[in-house]
Amino acid sequence: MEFFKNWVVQVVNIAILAVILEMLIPSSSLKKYAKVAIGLVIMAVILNPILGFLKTAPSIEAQVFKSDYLLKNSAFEGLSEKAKEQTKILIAKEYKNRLSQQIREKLESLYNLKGVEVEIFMVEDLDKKEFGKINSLILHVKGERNFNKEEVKKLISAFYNVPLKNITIKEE
Amino acid sequence: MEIFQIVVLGIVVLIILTVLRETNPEIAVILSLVTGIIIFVSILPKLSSVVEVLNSLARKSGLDTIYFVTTLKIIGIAYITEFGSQLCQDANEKNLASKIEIAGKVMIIFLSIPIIIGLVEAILSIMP
Repeated sequence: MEFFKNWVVQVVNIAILAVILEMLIPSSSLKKYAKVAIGLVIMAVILNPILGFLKTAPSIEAQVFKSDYLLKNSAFEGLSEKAKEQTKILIAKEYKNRLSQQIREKLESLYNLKGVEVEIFMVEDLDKKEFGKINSLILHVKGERNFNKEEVKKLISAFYNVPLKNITIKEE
Repeated sequence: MEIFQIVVLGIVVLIILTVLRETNPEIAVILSLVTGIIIFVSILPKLSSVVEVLNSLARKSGLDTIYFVTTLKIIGIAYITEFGSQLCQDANEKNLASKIEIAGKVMIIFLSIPIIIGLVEAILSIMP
């Protein structure tokens, strides 16, 4: 039940966001192109929780990040094998950094938790289909004690498709 | 009321332009460019607060930042392309205007390709 509630709230929020964004687009011939892109984003968000059920499913964000990076650095194909490996490791690292940054920002804006360190264990092999799938998460919270642990766990689990039991909160 | 200021500015420039177009069309183009920029700059603070609200809404709804940033970029490209192509059309350079529009379209498609690829990969992985 909790899962459906989260999903519906998320989809409703995105729909409102999409309508406002569509209003912002100037009325030109470009409008339909921008609309298609916004529609794709909505589709990705609706699909995301369904993918969470599957064991081998990839994380859409990770795929988007990967192809975004490879598109912008089109020289990738011309690199030697060794350089390619290095670049792949770099992409995975960058994605992980961005993810932990995002979780930190989210905790700060929603629960006013500052100075949280996020440790992420995820599939880091870029060639694997399930690249970006988070296996487990450890949050190191410093100082702060006044927060609802269960709620934080539920939020992270809903946003990032991590099973509740794999999220640990450590207070220091 | 800022909208009054903007509309009055627009009307004044319009009257000047109708005269200028017949005598010196070169200056008319520059005048309309400058007016366009002034109007655009005057709405920027409002636009930025709208984006701020949208950003907080996006964070609450669990939208990944990569999506949000991409959408905002697309909207920005649409605005700038529109601005440039309208200006070219004002100066009777239809060719240039359509080229600018093509560039804008290509940019938007380029930005949305990663999302398309991500979606396709995800959908393919669901299929048995």
